[in-house]
Formats: sequence, structure tokens, C-alpha cells
Amino acid sequence: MTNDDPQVQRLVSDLVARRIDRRQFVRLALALGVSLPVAGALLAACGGNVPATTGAVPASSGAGPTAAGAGPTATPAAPAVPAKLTLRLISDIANLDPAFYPASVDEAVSAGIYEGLVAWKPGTFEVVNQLAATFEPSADGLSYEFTLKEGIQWQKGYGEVTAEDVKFSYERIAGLTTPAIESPYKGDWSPHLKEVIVKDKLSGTIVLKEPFAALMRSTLPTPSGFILSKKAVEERGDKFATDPVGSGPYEFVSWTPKERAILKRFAEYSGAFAEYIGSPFPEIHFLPIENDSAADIGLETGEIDFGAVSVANIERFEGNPEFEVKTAPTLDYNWIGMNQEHPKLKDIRVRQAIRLAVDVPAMIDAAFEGRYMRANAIIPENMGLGYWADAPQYDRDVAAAKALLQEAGVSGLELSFTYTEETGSKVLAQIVQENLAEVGITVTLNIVDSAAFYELGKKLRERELFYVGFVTQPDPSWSFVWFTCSQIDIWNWQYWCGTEFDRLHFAALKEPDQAKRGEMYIEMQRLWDAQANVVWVSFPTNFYGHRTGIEPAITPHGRFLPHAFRVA
Amino acid sequence: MAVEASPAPQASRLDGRTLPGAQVLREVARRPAGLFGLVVVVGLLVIVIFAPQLAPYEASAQRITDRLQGPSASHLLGTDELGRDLLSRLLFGTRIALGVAFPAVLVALVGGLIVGIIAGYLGGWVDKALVVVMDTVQAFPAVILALALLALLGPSLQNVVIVIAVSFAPGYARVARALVLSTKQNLYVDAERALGAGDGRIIGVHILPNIVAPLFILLAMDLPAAITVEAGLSFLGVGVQPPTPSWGVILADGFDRIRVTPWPVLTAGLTLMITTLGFTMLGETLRDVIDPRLAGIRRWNRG
Amino acid sequence: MGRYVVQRIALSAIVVLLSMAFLGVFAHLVPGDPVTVILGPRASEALSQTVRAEMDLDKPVPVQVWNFVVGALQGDLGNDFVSGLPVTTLLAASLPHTVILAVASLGLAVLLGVPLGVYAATRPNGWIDRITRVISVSLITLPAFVGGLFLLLIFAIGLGVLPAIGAGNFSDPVDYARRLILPTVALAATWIGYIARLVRTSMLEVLGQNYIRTARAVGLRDRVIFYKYALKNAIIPTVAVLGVGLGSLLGGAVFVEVIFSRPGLGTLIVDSITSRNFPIVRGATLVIALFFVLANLLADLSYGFLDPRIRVQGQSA
Repeated sequence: MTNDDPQVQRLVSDLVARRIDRRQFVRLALALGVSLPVAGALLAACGGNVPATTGAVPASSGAGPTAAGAGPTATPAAPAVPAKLTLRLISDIANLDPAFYPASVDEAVSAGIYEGLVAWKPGTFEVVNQLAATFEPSADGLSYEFTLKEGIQWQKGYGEVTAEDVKFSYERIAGLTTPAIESPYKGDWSPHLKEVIVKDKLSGTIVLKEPFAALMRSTLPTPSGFILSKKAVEERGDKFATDPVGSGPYEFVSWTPKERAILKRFAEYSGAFAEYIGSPFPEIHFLPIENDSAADIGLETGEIDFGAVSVANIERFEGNPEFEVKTAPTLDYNWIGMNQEHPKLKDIRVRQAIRLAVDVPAMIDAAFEGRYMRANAIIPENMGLGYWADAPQYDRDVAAAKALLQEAGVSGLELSFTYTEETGSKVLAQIVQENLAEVGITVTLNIVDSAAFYELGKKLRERELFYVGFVTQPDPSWSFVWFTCSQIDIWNWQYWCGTEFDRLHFAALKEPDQAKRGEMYIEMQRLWDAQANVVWVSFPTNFYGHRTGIEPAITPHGRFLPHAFRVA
Repeated sequence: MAVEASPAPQASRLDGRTLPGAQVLREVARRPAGLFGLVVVVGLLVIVIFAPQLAPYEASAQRITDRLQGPSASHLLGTDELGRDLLSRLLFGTRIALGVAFPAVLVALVGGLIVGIIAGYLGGWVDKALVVVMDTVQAFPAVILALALLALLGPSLQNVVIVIAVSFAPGYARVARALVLSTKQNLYVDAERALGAGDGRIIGVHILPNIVAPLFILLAMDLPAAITVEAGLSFLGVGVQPPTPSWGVILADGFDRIRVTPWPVLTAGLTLMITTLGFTMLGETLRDVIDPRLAGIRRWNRG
Repeated sequence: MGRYVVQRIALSAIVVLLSMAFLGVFAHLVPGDPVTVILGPRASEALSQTVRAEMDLDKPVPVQVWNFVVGALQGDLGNDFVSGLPVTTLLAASLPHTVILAVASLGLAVLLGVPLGVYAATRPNGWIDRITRVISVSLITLPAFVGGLFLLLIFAIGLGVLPAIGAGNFSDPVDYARRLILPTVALAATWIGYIARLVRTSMLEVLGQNYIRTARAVGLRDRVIFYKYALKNAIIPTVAVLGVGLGSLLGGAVFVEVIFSRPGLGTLIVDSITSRNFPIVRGATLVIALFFVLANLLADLSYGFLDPRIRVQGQSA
């Protein structure tokens, strides 16, 4: 069949006249015997426009035989910009205040609303100026002079951004304002921050008490470095969290719980970061869809343009020319924890036995389709600092595990295993149950909703075994901080207080020499490994599916920046 | 708000014995619907007893490398997301399905019976109060009531039994009460009373035998509903918890992976369908055989 | 007639009040400290205090019930534990979707069930009748959630002709209607079976009765007999079934909403159970019960219009 065939020609004219859409064109062309590459070429040459909206798109394709890869995707001549960009969140937002945001979904929505003195160039960890016109660290690393760009407007009519706002924002998280707040991210500033001195309307100095190695890595470019309008925060009080005000390219419009959050382009955006982002979408919508299958279907039907896809369906999207899948490795980590203060788990031999009894590769295969990288310690190689290449890997050894249990004089042990609805947890929990049954430990499974999982304070002492994952920012201190002594009854669910571990942690925060810092972090991981109170599972990789036609912006640690998306 | 029971059996039934058991069975087996029902129910009971012998694998035996496969020689119905054999899990799931439904409906029956007899026999304000309570409970669709109770009790197999029993009990109470009320008015009973017979004898000899038969028929027709409710609650994640192989759990796991393989959903769904069909057929045929007049009694509050 | 109406409404009102009281005392029905019962594993200090205050748990039980009932009558169902938003706001967002689904399913069930039953009655024991009987029995035993899963599998995933998730927006009614198709069919299936059987049985009953034979003898045309008497007679039990059936439908709607990822009261309840957000569970349960009572009331009232015998009875009672 050549292109001269009248039927093919009629097909092409239908396509051009938009009587059929691209998907139908491909199907019909194949039915006529046109080969896929040729169909794709025809599409590219004569193809119609990108669908105008993301709303009512024809139902999911049973795109079986046509989806065999190949064929260039259509690149229309002049892409029409969709009226809105719709993104999936894996759970609903709760709080958009940078001092209190509870989860990465809140971070994602906030990213377009706020700006800081400096920020990462999208797609990298390179720190560039954002609201700062100039930003000068001193030689001793104890003071940072900044001047703000002129004429940066706050959203919602709150005037101009000034150095007062900078002072307010940073001292607020550090707990130095009156009234003082207790931010979970206090550690990003305190106890290092002494104060922020305001020199004049647009300039000032950040003054530290002692060197703070993580400042440029995990404080300033993250939400803890966002600048908030002092007037807006004071005026809005508690409501600020669900009706925030920033200076960024998008402003908050509305949030319907469990349904949708909407941002729209800030008309008076100062353009402070315009050099790096130029998002053309007038509106960005966020849909919280917890169920992975539902989200996959939503992506296919065009209800959402972009979102995390379930590991099980990556291949299907990759094989479909209408979609692309971006692989986004993270620095996050997940693990099986053991509460070593619990009487049943106090004996280190029991913990070592458990570590040897579970089959981590099987978990990664079954729960994550083998797509996550196995973890042997807390810091992944991508962190760039503190990676322990020689971390021991514990392969499954049922005999050794049984021997250890016997040595400890333990038999008929019963343990509870607590986990949340997170991807793959259910499957992983059942594998653990089976694995431990083989060495004579009976495990009862206990699924708990995420909010309940994190919220327990002292009741955590009752927890025995559990599976969880934390997210992190690109500095090792961020990963380690949750496991220090001060986090007992808060986030340190292994209930291990290691004095040397703590000392090293705080020393490393002040250590200006990168190499020495790295060594300290490795030593911390060594000490931790000796405690045998965790079984490291994996470093998750995020997989984002999106329809061709948009170009997402993804950070090197697996997050996405909605305000930096473009039209392809 | 269930439809009221139609008037109770006539005085001629007061001689106690209904049709002898063997004859009933023969009658039931004569009808195609009844035969189908019998075959299914007996088959299920056999599976419940002999599951370990019948199942080719353990319900919890995982083989990660074999997961999510379609039917094959080694796995007749395929495998689930942990490589467990679906056929085996479905077979063991029968124990869960019947092991929840039977006790639940039995408890509902006994509880409802007691409440209904008390209400009907004592009459007066006790009766009125109990009727009001039953009406209120029946103002909630069974599934919704079950969900609300499970919100407090927490998800587990035992709690599912409890909530199903609570949801179904008022239906039995109503029927028992209606039957008691009409039996009470019977002249024979008045005569006995005049001769000095005590409450216990009246209840034991006259009331109980009459109401037991209709109630057991209701039980047979409620079983499929109970099985379905348990499967449904487990499917939602608030009933039986994984890895226990309740059919609802298998359906839920299958639903999560429905785009990868349809087999868990198909097989578990069909199993549930055939089971409920079998029990329903049996129940209706039993009803038709034992007392066609009871056709007036419907079970609508199945929610 | 008026008396009958008043009687029915009064009865329904009492049931509604009792349901509210029942839910008001609900948390105490389970043994143990209500706060721990409600929150389960979430019982941290801060949250326990919020719960205690929100639900007046420090006050004596009758006062709690009273407060809840009075509040409910004024449209205040408390605030949810997680976001502090009023329960009614959250319910209001989800309610329309569930109501539309339920009404559409009932409508479909009637639309298909009645003609099927009528046709089966016109030719009793004919092959249509036999097929109808088989189909209706199979449908009756197909629980909504299994039906929903099968429909999803066949039409949305296998054939890809209908959408598989979401309800869409009211701003796009065509899209909304498309997304309504599969869930509605799943829910209506069971009831098509029931209604068909019921209509058939009732009509056959009437057709066999004396006054029909007399009417025939006198020369009234079959058709008139059919529709004027037989069908009308079949409507009463059908209406009764529908009234009660709505309860079952609302229960089934929970599953269908979860399977098709539709927003609605069902999804709300299930989510709230896992997050231990009791006020939402309680509020949604109450709203559903209210609908159920309302539907039954309407059914009862319509008997009055349809069956003159009841009207007369009502007057003399």
C-alpha cells in the first residue's frame, strides 16, 4: 500500500479536516495495511493539532497491536496551548505553609507559589539566584549578604517583597519570631541561625552562629528557604495554610478537599525566575488520586496530563506512542524497622536473625516490579556525599537466622508488622510474613492509614516491626536527622539513641570540608549497621507518565516542578 | 423497613411435624433449580471439609517469580501478585465465606428469635419498644450499617460476623414476632392455658415448632446475602484482612492489578456468583416445597 | 386519605429522629473508652482532646445525644477530625453524585424490568418467559460489586468503549452521562431481575382472578384488562420493592463508587473509615438513612394513590 492509494489519501484528508483524530487515523491506517512508521510519518506531515483541552477525550485505547513502539509521535506545526495542565497527586494536600507542610504533595503544589533568595536551576542541583539580585557568602561561611531584585510583587495585592519579609520568613522557621512557632523543619535553620539583619528595603545579611554545611544544599533552595509575605502571614493567621500568598509565577485559587486544587498564572509576576521557567499554562489543576490503578486509567483517558504511574503499568505506557514515561530516581529510602526497645526485640541476635530471614530482592521484585534500586544503607550514590560503597549486603540465610534465634533462646516468637497503604506495602508485608514464618516467627499484619501511622508519639513504643519510607532533601543530614536521640517518640521509631551517632551528626553539620563530612556520614552508617535495627529495602524511583505534548520538569531527586512544565 | 411477613401458617400445622426430611430432599432434587442448588451447596461443603486435600498448593505459598500468570498446567486458574495459586486460594476461601456467613446468620437467627418471641409474647410496652428499636436499625441499609459499625470495631473476621449478625437480626425478629402474635391468638392455646399450662410449655410446644420452619427457610435465603456482604466488606478493605484468602480479598488484590491480568477478578467473581446462585436456588426451592404459602415472606432488607 | 398521609409522615419523622439518636449514641455501643474506640491507632494526646471536645464526650450520654440530634436537625453534623471542615460541606460535595447514581439505577431497573415482566406475563411459560426467569435469577444473585468488576473488565478495559473512572463534571453533561453508564448498569442489574419477576408474578395473579374473568366475559378487550387492571395491580408491590430496594441500592453504590473511582458518599465513607474520621462516617450514614426513610415514605404514600383499599382503610383506621 502506497501513499498514492485513494483510501489512504481519503484517510489523510479526513485527518487534516479533523473528521477523525490521530488515534483513529493510526488504527485505520494500520487496518488498511499501511505500516506503522509510514503512518507515523503521515501523521507528522499532515497531522492535526494537539487536542485543545485535557477534558473530554475519547475513552482509553485498547491500543494493543498498534502500540508496538516505533512510529514518530505527531509534532504539530504550532501547538495550541491547553487551557489547563492537570497533574496527579498521590494524596490530598493538607497544608501549604512552608513551615508546616506534611508531605511531598504539598511541596509540589507550593513550588509554583513561592520563591526563595536562591533556587535550583530546574532539572539540576545547581543553585542560582531567584529573588536575590546578589547573594554573597562570606569567607568564613558565617554571613550571607543579599540584595533583592527590585519591584517583585506579592500576590493578592500584598505589595512589594522586602528584606523584612526575608527576615520574617527565615527567623519564623527557626523559631525566633514572636510569637514563636514550632516548625517540624526548624532544624533547617536552628540552632545555626543567629538572625537576619535588615540593612535597607531590599538588602540584608543572614548571620549564622556557627558554620552550617547544609545551608546551600538543603535549606535555602527548599521550602525552608521560601520567602513569605510578613503582612499576609500575620493577617491570615491559620488560614494562610490553605490560602497562601507567595511571589511566584502561580497563585493559589482554590482547594476542594479530596477533589481538586487550582493554581492560576499570577498576572503581575515579576519575572524573577523567568529566565529558567516559562510555563505557558494559564491554570494548573491538581487531582489527588490515591489509587494507582485509578490514576493510570485517568492518564489514559486524558483526565490527567501527568502523574506518577504504578510500577506495574510502566511498560504499557512506554509502549504507547501517545505517552511517555520519565524515570526519576530519588534520594528517598524505605526500610523495615525494628523497635529495639521493645522487650521482644531487645536481643540483638533476634534482630540479626530477622535481618537474615527476609528476602529483600523478592520484595523489590514483587512490590516494585524490580524497578527500585536495592538499598544497603541510608545514603544512595546520587546523594553525592556520604555514600558507603562497602555497606554489607545481607542475603537471605534461613539457616543462619534459625541458628541465631536458637542461640538467643527464642522460639514461637510473635510479632506485629505495621505498614501503610503506600505502593507495594501490602505485597511486601505478606512476603515478610511468609519469610519470617519459615524461621518460626509468626507475624500479624497491621495496616494503618498514613495519618495514623505518623501521628503516634509515645504510643510508638508499642510498635514492633514496621515498614515505611521517608523522603529527603539533597543533604545527608536531612536523611539522618530523624534517627537521632532527640527524635525518640517522634520520628525515631527504632528507639535507638546512639551517642557517637548523634555527636557525628551534629559535628558534620558544621564541617566545611566535604571529604571529612563524607567520612563522618559513612562512620554513622557503620555504627547504625552494627545495631541491626533496620533492614534496608530500596531507594524508590519515581516514574512519571505523561502524554506527549507536554514537557515536564523533574528534579534530580525525583520531584516535579509544575510551574516549569512546558508544551512540547 | 422490610415488608411485613404475611399471615402465619394455619392451625393445621400445629401438629408439629412438617414433611419428613428425606421427602423434602427428594422433592427439592426433583426440580432443576433445587438440584442445581443442592449440587452447589454440597460441593461447597465438601470443599470446606477437604480443602487441604483438594488444593494443589498452600493458600499462602508464595513464588514471586511466578506471579500474575494466567491459567497454565501447574496453576489451573493462574497466580496472584505474590505467585500464590488462585485455585488453592479460592478453595480455602470457601472456608472463610461459609465460616463467616453461617455463624453470622445463625447468631442473627437466634438473637432475632429471642427478641421476636419476647416482643410477641409479652406484648405491651416491651413489644412496642422492641419494635421501635428494630425499625430504627432497619432504617439503615445493611452495608452502610456494617460499615459504620466496622468504623468503630475495626476490621477483622470476627467483627464482620458481628456486624452481619446485627444487620440481619431485626428481620428475623420481625418474622418471629408476627408468627408468635398469630399463634398466641389460637384457640387451642387458650384452651391449654385454661387448663393451667405454663408459659414455657406454650412456647415450647406451640410457638417454637411453628416458627422454626419459616425461620430456617429465611436462613437458607439469607446465607447468600451474608456471603456477599462479607466478600464486599473484605473487598473494601474493612473486613477480613489479607493474606487470609477471603474471596473479597482476592477480588481486591485482583482489582489492584486488573490491567495486568483479569484472572483473579474473573475467577473469584464467578465463584461468588455460582455460590450465591446455588444457595439462592436451594433456598427458594426449599421454600416452595415446604410451604408455598410462605412465598409471601420476602427478604428485602439485604442492603 | 389525609389521615393516612399524616400517619405515614409522622411515623417517618419518628424513625428519622430515632436514627439520629441512634447515631448520637453510636460511639458508646462498643465497649471501651469512646475516644480510643473512635480513633483506634490514631489516639495521640492532641487528637484525643480534639475528639473529646468535638463530640462532647465529657458530658453525660443523654446530653451528647441531645446535642447531636438538635445539631443534626439544624444541619450541623459536626466537624471532621482531619481538616476541621464541617461535615456537611464535605457531604454536600459528594451527595449529588450518589443520588444521581441511585436514581439512574432505579430508573434503569424500572425501564427494563417492568416491560420484561409484562412481556413474560403475556406469554407465561413461553421461551421469553423462561429466558427472563433465568436471566432475572442470575442477575439477582450477581452482587453489584461483582457485576461492576465484570463490566469494568469487559467494557472499559477489554473493549475500551466506556470510561473506567471518575464521574466527570456537571459542566459537561454528555461526558458525565457516559461515565454514568457502567456504574448504573452494575447497580441496576440485580433490580431488573427482581422487578421483572415481581411484575410477572403480580400480573399473573391478577389475571387469574375472578373479576378479570368476569371482565373478559363481559367483553372488555384484553388490552384494556391488561393495562388497566393487571399492570396497575403489579405496580403496588413493585413500588414497595423499590422503596426498600433503594436501601440495597445505596449499599451497592458504595462498591460501585469504589470500583469506578467515582466521588460520592460511598467513597467518602470508606475513606473515612480507614482514616478513622468518625464524624464523616456518622454524617454520611445519617444522610443515607434519611434518603432511605424518605424513599420508603414516598413509596408508602404512593400506595395511597394507587390502591383505593388503603385509602379507605386509612380513613376508617
